[in-house]
Amino acid sequence: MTNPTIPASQNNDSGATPEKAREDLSIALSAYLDNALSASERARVTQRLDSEPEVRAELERLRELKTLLGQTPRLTVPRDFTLDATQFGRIPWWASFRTMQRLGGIGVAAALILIAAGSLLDARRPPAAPSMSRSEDGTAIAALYTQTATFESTESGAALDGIIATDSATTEDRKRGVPTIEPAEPQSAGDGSVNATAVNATATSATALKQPPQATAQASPPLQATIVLTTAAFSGAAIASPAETTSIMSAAPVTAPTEAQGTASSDTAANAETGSSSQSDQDDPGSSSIAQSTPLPTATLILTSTATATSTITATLTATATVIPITPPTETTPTASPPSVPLLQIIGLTLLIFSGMLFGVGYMRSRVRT
Amino acid sequence: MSTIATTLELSASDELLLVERAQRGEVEAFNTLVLKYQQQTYNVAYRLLGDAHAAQDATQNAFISAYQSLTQFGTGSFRAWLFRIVTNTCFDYQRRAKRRPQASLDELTEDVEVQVSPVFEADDDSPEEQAAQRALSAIIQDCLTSLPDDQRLVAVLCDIQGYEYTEISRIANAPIGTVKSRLSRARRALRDCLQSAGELLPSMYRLVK
Repeated sequence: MTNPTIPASQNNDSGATPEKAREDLSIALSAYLDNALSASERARVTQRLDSEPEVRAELERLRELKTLLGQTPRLTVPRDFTLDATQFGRIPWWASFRTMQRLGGIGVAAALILIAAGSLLDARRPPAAPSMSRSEDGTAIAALYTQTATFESTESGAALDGIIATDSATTEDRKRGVPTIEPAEPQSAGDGSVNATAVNATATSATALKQPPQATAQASPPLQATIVLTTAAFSGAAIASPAETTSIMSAAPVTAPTEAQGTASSDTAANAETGSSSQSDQDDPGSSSIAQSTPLPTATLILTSTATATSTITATLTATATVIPITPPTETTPTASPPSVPLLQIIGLTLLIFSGMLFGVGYMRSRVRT
Repeated sequence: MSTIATTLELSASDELLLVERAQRGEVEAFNTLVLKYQQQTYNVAYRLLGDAHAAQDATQNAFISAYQSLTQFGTGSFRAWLFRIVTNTCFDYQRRAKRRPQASLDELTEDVEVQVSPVFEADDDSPEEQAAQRALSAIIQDCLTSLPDDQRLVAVLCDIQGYEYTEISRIANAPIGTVKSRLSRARRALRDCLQSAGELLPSMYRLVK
């Protein structure tokens, strides 16, 4: 700004300061150069250009500068700046990451509602479901949930029968090869708190044992159950050595004295039966049993019945029966039907996982995009 | 450096059709507009920022911003609307560089190893002319950089790019009177700067007075 020596307009009728007048003239000359003045402004500048050589010189300096700046070399673009259609192409609304995010969020909410509703329904379900049946005489039925039974017989024709039975064990049970726990008659009328229950574990043949065995424990109406393992008998082909049968039934806490332990309960008619191919009946002297009564309704009974018969011809029977849990007689446990499946929770969990992934992908990608 | 860039000539009606198609999400239509304006955009960005690499980044970001906010374009000059985005992008870029005084414009760019030198259009000139042009470009750039942002913008748009006042007024978002006064002050400052450069200017470009 050292250069302008433009005189302020001599006929400046606006009454402005000389600096302001020079500024106005400079702007006017600049705009005159660009042909950006109104007709009246242009006429005024033309008049001064004609009469004032300094103004003319200033205009020439501006023109020279403009020419020089107009010669400024143009740069060539180093590359095309076009946008990538795959990155910037408009995608349909349903494929946008924002939509994914929203759908995922809605799905998570719906899943949580489903899970909550399922839990609520389960909580309100009546305790006695139809599948939790009672026997005709009102005894509760406890399920034998897990059983393992292995049977090995190295001698081809030999079938081993391991029977832990009471006199109440039915023939059908034995034919099924099913270890059962069945109610027995009350042992003593005076001692009503304890009812004897016998364990009947029957293994008739190798094929029968391969089937998934079942066992039921039935308790009499009194709120206590005592499972008495009276005896166990094994008979197999040419059994010579002592076979061992162990049956353990435990319950905690123990509140009542055991009605019978082991072989003491001989009054319950221990039977030793021979198998179809057995040659001789031979009671197993090594059998032992432990039965303990339990306070129901919170008792958990674990029955482990192991019967092993070894013979000189190497016949081995191993039967394991486990009973868990035995529910109180008043609240029965399902016997045959499987536990009810929490369908709503499963659907909810599946939806939760899927929606969570959808939300996550949408959230991450939309963040990447921005 | 070989150039692969394309420049397109489009009529005003074609341009309007392309804008409408681009507004509906057609990237290809927008890319046609990019090809038409990328040269001007890059040159404006370079003169505003004074750095080739920064100008590349700003140009790309400006086109992305323009595409993403294309629905906000109503009527009027698409070029004015586009260059308003370009100038805003450039000044944003500059502010970010100033906020980090240790970081040069080069360091703001993603690819600091590649030193980008400006490539001029008239590459078929003689070596002497090319050298003179480079010297002139550098001195003009130095003088432009010394200007305030608003004056530099109008000087670049008017005297280097040759835009009309009305369009500059839209780009700079300022009344025409303001554009005139800014331009007047910018020209005076530039002349002082170029005169002081004096001997540095190639003889053919020296200012007489």
